[in-house]
Amino acid sequence: MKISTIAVFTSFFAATACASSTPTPELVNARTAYDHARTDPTASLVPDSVLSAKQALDKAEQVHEKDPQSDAERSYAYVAQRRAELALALGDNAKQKQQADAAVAHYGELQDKLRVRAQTQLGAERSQVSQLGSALVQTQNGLAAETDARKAAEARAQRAMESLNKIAAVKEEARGMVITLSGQVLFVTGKSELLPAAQDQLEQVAKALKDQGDIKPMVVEGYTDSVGSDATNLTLSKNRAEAVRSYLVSKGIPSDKISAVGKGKANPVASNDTADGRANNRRVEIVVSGGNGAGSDMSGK
Amino acid sequence: MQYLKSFVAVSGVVALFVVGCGGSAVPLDKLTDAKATVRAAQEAGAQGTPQAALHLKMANDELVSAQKALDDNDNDRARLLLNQAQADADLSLALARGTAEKQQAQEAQAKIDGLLKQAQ
Repeated sequence: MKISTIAVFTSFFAATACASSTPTPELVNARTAYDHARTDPTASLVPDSVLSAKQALDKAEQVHEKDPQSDAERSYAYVAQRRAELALALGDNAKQKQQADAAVAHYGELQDKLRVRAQTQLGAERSQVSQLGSALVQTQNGLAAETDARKAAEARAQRAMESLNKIAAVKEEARGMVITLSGQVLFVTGKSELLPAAQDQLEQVAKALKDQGDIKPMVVEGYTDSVGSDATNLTLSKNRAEAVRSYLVSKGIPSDKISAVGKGKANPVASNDTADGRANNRRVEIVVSGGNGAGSDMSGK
Repeated sequence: MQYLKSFVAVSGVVALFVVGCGGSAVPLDKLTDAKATVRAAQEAGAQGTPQAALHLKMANDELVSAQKALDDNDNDRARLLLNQAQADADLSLALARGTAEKQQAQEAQAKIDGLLKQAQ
């Protein structure tokens, strides 16, 4: 009876000592570490590792129950702490790996996007270059056409001058290009009506003037010889100049570009003492102001 | 004959006692596994990361102690030390790999930043 009482007491004490025995610092650390691992969001990425940390801690707790404060408790607690730390480290690694994978994927996407963009840009630049190229070709063609046109115009003006030279005396003077038409060819003596032959000649003159392209202002000047009164001569020369002007206007010379004046016996080109001289003085001069390119070229040659 | 029998019995008890004192034999795998993990941690560059290097050193120290305990026939102690060595080696390996992964993530991010800068 007594012995059994002692035995009960002893076992009670033993149980109490066991239950209330303080854990080793290693076990305390292991519990803390496991709590950390259990609640850490990154460790939740590696549930297997958290589970093995729990199993290691359970083992340490069992050893603590059975053999408190023992080297074995310390060792198992130590291992449990490391397992909890391992779970945290592996969770961290998993997170790093996720981030790295995401970054690599992002990098690939970005590369593709940039490649597409570069290609689009390249395409745009290429089409721009080809547009510029065709624009250049057009410009060159335009320039060539312009050059051709200018050459043609020059040739036409040249031909016009040549034909003008055939039908009338053409001189370059300070006042411009002077086309001199003989009065005898143009008019019956004392009259200011154009002869039919004169009309043909003037038509050619008009054509030659127009063929020079840009029609410059011109003055038709009528001249007489010194025979007769000044008043008569002035009127006659004025009327004849007007007749020539009207005819040229009717053949396409713009009326605002051409005027007519009578000069009478002024500015004789020859002596009035001889019949030939007087014939030369009876004339109509068409003075084209400033000359023109073809005309200047002619005089320069 | 009787004498011989009792000798065998006593020898058996003594043998049991000796084994019991040192604990059951430590499986050879435990030692080789722990050593292999230590090597793996070294190869993963544990020396280059302070925390990994610390646990690598602990694992090595524990391996040395475990070997000593084995030599002393203290199998229980050897077993505990090998557990610890394995735990430290595992942790060292994980930390070393984490550093490598962190570097890779940083490199990937740096490449992205480079691309973005280039794209601007």
